[in-house]
Amino acid sequence: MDYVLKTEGITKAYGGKLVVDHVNMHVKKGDIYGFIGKNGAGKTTFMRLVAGLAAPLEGNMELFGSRELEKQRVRIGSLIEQPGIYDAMTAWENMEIMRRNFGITDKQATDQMLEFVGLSKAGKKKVKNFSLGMKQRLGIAIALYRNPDFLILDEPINGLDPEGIIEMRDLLLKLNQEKQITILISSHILGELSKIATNYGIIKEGALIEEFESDELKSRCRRCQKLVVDDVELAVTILEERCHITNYDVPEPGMIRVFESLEHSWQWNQELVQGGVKLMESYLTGQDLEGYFMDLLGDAKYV
Amino acid sequence: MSNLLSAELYKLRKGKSLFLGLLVVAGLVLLLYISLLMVDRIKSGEMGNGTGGVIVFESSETMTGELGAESMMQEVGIAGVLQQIFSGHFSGLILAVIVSIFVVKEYGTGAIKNLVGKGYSRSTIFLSKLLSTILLTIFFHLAAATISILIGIPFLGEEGLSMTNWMDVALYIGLQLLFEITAAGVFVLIGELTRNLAAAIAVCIGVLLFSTSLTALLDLLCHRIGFQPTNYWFLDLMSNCPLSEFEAEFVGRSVIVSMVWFVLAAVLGVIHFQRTDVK
Repeated sequence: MDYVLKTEGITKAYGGKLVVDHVNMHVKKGDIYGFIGKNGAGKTTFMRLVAGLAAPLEGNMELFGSRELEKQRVRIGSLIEQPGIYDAMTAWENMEIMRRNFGITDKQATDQMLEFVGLSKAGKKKVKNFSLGMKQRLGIAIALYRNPDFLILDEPINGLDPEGIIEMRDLLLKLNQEKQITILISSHILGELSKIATNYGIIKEGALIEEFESDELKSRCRRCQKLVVDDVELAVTILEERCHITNYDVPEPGMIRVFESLEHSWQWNQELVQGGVKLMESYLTGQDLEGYFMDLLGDAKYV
Repeated sequence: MSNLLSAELYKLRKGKSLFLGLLVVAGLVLLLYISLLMVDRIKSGEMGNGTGGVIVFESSETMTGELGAESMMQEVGIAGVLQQIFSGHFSGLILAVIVSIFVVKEYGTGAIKNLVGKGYSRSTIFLSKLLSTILLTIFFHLAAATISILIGIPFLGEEGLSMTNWMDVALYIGLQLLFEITAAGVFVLIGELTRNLAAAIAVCIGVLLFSTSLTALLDLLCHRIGFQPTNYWFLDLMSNCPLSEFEAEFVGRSVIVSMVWFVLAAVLGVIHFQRTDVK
């Protein structure tokens, strides 16, 4: 597997308290990896560890399959917390500083990048007079300046208006699809994240509790009738023969999930009971993504 | 390193603090010359004593009851004004503010995140900041000295200029530059340690104004062992730097002491920057 980022047991503590707790993360090339967790769960700290802004207490990290992190970090662009920009300067001047820092000789590069993020018309407007969305776009322009292969974005759509969110989503998809940039992105706006993410990682109290692909997420959130029974084999026979159900699965012992003809679920319940199956639970379920994550994170307040 | 330096100099050029600082120096120098002019006018009887809050006392040496006829302006001269500006820590105070803004701004804006982990070692990043601060200090110091001299010309006239020993003035400015570069190095270290603008400015000014009192106290404590800490603290040397009759021992000690403190500040700064997380 071609991993852009692979961590093993990455740990970070502040004041004796673990804020990142033995995280094993796997970000494949081409992924848009949605990183989800409550405030203070350790998302930003983990991203800072990856970007080299903080040093881990223990654990290993591979970037682009290499442990020479300093060398590989040149291929990373990041926007972590607030964009690092000088408020008293214009967007062009901010980019000019980065152009000089990175030794980019092509002076047109600044104009091209500003054009790419839609800031070419910002002109002589100082950054302090920018909207939040414009500042975020400038932060992304800085992160993209050296054509990174891996982009780390911490809450890039926070505070954006609906139009700004759509623009940001389109920009990220464009970067991923046209420039093949792998993206690690955290966001509290889960509905929005689910529109672009190909993979997810859930962090809770510093520990990465689950990693899965978006297809798996869709499957988990699919509307279905869940049946908890004493004899799965018998129940499946009854469902197939008497109720003509074919679209179902058995995710765990004693549980059947039926995905079709949900409006007739009362009939299966009758058939199962009449067929001698002890039916402990039978309920219709299916969540939106936010509901699913809320369940996973352990309480309803996840932002 | 040259890339980083180029970006730092661009930031300095675009920033206003350096130029505002020089404007403040010009204002202070002008005030100083105007005060001296008023003293001369009071002494000559053209203005009443106490005009504009300027009160001229009789000389304690002559005790004649007269205010004396000699021109205070000519007595102080360009060298005396330079001494007020540099040894009196006027320029040091302004430099403390400029350097603090220049260093801490990187943390305040979060711009430092755009550099760390982007192919430059942390020591290179810190040293580029330090190097650009030295260039800033040299420019500021020479500009402040030039301003002080240029503003003095119309006040002192030809007589005043011809009385000035320009070799001594040059040597004094050179020695003060050395001390100011060391001070700038210490200010960069303070900025790196505090990473907070208000704290950095407060600590820098505190060091500038009160550290000499501390070394004076240490002098008192170390008196019995015959050791004088004031001889080895660059800010004491800065204050006590003579305007003429420079002794080779003082010049040599100044160079060594300044270099030692500067290198110490640079090393501590690099170590701290390497070991501390960037937020």
